[in-house]
Amino acid sequence: MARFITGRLVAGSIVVVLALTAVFFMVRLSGDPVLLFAPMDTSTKDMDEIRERMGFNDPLVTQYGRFMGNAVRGDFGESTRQQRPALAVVLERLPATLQLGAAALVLALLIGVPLGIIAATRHGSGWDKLASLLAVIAQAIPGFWLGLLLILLFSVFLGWLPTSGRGGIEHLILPTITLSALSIARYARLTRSTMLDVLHEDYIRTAYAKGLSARLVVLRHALTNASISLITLTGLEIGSLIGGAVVVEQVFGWPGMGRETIQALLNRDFPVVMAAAVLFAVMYTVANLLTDLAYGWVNPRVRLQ
Amino acid sequence: MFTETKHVSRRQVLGGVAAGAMAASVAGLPSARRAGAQDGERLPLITVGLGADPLSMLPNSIVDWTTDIQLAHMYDRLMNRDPALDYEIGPWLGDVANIDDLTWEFTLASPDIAFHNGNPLTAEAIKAAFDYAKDPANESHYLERWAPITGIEVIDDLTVRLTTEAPYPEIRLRLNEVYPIDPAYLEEVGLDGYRENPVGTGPFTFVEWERGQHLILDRNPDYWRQDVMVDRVEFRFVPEFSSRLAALLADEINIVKDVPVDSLQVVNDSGVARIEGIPSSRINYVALVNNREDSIFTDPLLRQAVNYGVDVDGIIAGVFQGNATRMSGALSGLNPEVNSEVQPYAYDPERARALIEEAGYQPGEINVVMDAPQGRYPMDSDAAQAIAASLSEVGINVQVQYNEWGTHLDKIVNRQTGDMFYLGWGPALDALGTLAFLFVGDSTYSSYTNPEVEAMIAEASSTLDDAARQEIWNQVQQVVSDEAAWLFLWQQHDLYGVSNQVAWTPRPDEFMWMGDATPSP
Repeated sequence: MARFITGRLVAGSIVVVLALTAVFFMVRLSGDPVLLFAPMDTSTKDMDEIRERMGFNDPLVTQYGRFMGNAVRGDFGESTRQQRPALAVVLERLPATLQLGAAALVLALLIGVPLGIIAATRHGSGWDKLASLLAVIAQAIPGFWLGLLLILLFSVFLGWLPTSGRGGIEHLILPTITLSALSIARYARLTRSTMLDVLHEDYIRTAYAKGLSARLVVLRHALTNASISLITLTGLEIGSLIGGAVVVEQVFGWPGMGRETIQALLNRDFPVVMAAAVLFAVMYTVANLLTDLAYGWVNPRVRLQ
Repeated sequence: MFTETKHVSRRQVLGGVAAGAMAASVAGLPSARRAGAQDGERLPLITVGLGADPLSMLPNSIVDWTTDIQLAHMYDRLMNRDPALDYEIGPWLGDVANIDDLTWEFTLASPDIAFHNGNPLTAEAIKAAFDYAKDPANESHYLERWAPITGIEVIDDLTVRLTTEAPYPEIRLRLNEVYPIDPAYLEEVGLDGYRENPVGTGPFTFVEWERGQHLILDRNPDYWRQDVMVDRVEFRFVPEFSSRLAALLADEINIVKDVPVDSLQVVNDSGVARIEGIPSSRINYVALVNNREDSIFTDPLLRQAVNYGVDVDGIIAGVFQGNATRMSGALSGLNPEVNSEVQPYAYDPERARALIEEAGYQPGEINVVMDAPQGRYPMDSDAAQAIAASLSEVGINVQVQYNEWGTHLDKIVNRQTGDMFYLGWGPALDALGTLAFLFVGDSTYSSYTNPEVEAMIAEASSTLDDAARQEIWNQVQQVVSDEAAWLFLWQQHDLYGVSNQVAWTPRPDEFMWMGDATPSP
C-alpha cells in the first residue's frame, strides 16, 4: 500500500510540474500584463521601465527557469495587482472554495443517488420518468443562469436568502444548490443505469430468493456493487465541482479561489494564476489518489500495486 | 486615468437574463427590507456594491479606480477636484504655489489636521508619501508617474518644496493623486502593518476588510474639513453586475454603478430604487488609424467621410436612449479647456458619399475592420454595430471585431487593430491628461499623428501661463477636428442605481463619494 501511494504521489508531482509548465507558457501567450495594471496614460517609455523592473523583458525560458526555481521553494512571486505574495492571495480563498465544493458534493450525493435508486427500482414508472426529467433539466441549465434565477426568486422576490457573499448557512444555500445541480443529475443518471444492470444479475435474484427484503437487497447487495462506478464519478466530480465553482463563485460573490482566479486571468496577474494552477493541480491529484484508495476499500478484488 | 475593473465579460448576457426575469417579477416587491436609512440627519449605514476589492489599503501604490474611491474615504489628497470649481483641481489639504519655472511650494491648510491615530499631519507626511512611491523596491505605480517631480524638501512643519527639471504644468494633476501617510506610524508598524490597519486623515476610519466580501469604514468624528453625513460605509464586493443589480433590488445594497441602459426601466419600476445619471467626463471615440501605412484612413477625406456618415445623434437616441452626450471634438464639454468654437460634424450621408468618391473610391468598395471591446463601456457592442450599419449606408463596409479587453489593448498598442477601433478615455477633465497624452507620437491610443499638433502640445506642456496654454489648446482642438482625427462620439453617462431610502448625487469624475449621502426626505 505504501509503495502504491508513494508511486502515485511521484506521478502526481510530475503531473503538477507538467501542468505548471503548460499554464506558464499559456498565460504568457495571453498578452502583456503591464498593459492591464499600469494606467492607460502611462507613456511607452515608462511601460518599458516597468516591464524591465518586473522581469517581463527577459527571454521566456529565463522567466520560466526563474519561476520554477522559486516555485519549488513555495515562492510564486508577488501578485502584480495586489503587491503581496501570490500564494497567500490564493490560499486565503481556499477554505471558501472547499466549503462550497464539499457542501455541493454532499448535496449531490444525498439527492442524486437516492433519485437514481428510486428511478431504477421503479423502472418505467412515473417516478422513473420524473427523475429522468429532473436529471435532464439539471444537466441542461447553465450554472450562471440557474444561479441568477435562484437569486431572483429567493432573494429579490421572496426576500428569504441573501443574494451574495459568504457568512452563515443562509449564504451557502443558493450557491450550493447551483453548484450541485449538474452533479445531482450525473449521480442520478449513473446510479439509475448502474443499478438497472446490477438488479438483473443472478446474485440479486438469489438474494430475493433467500427471502431478503427489497430494501436490504437494494442497499446492501445492489448499491454496494454499483458503488464502484459512483466512486469513479466522485473522483471526477471533485474536479468538476472545483471547476464549476469558478462560475458559481462569480455569480454569488463567493470569495473563493475560482473567483480570484478569474479576476487574475482577466487582469493577467500571472503569479496568482500560477499559484492557483498549482493548488488546482494538487487538488485534482489528491482526489484521484483518494478515488483509487476507495476502490480497494469498497472492492477487495482490486489489488493496489 | 484609472484602469477600471468594471464590466466582466458576460455582463450583457447576464444583464439581459436578469433584466428579462426581473421585469416580470420585481414590480410591487414586498416592502420588508433591510433598513438602510432612518429618520434623522445622518445615514446610519450606506452600502455600495462594487465589482472588486481594493488592491491595497496603502495609498500611493496602485493606480486603480476601484481602489482609489475606497482609499479616498480614508485618506485626504493634497489637492482635489472640487465640485464648487466645476471639478477643476483645487486646494484640499492645502494649496500649491508656483515659485518659479522649476519650483513649487505646497502648504498645508492647517496645523491642526490629524491622522486617525491622533498624530499630527505635517509636511513630513507628504515627503513620506513621495519617498514611498519613489523607492523602486516598493514597485509603486506612481514611481514613473511622479518622476518629473525630482526634489521634495521639507521647509517647515506645513510646507514642502517641490522641484522639477523642466516646467511642469501637470503638477496639480499629480498632487491630486498624493495621499500623505503618517511617517511615525509607518516607522512603528512597517508597510505590512500599515496595509493591515491603514491610517489616514480622511473622513472615515478603517474598521474591517474581509477580502472578497466587504470593506467597512466608520465616520471620523474628528474630521477636520466638514461634517460627514454617513455614520458607516460598507463597500461590498460582488463581481457579477447582475448579482449587484439583484442585491440593489433586494435592498441589500444602496448604490451600484454602471446600470446598463436596458435595465433602467427595471430599476425605476422596482419601487425600491431609481436611476441617477450624470454625464461623465469619460469620452468614447473611434480612432481612425492615420499613422500606419496600410490604413485607409491616412487619407483625411475618408476620415471626414466617416464623421459625416455616422448618425451619432441617432445612435445616442436609439442605442443609449438619450443617455450619452455628443462631443464636438476631442474634449468633452465638462473640460474647462474645451474649445467651444469647434462644432460637431453634421450627419450628412450625401456629403460622406461625395468625399469617398473624391478620395477615389466607389460606394461599397471600401472594406475595413473595426476592433471593439465588449462590455467595457456602456452599450459598446451595440454602438459598434450601429456605427457599422451607419457607414454601410454610405458605402463603407465595416466588419466589427470584438475583443476581450486585454486583447483589445494589446492590439492597439501593438498596432494590430483594423483601420478603426473603439475606445474610451477618462476621467478626462483636463487637456494635459487627454490631448497631451493621446496626440503625441508614442501613444497609440489615438492612432493619429500630426507633427503640427505634436509641436503645439509640446509647447503647451511647458507653458505655465494659463491663458497662453489655453490658446494653444484651442488650436490643437480645431486642427484635430478639421482633420477628423477620430470619429468623435459621446461622453458616457454614468448611470447609478440608487436605493429610494437614500438621497445621493453622483459626480462627473466617477468618484463615488458617500460622505454627503443623506436619508431620503
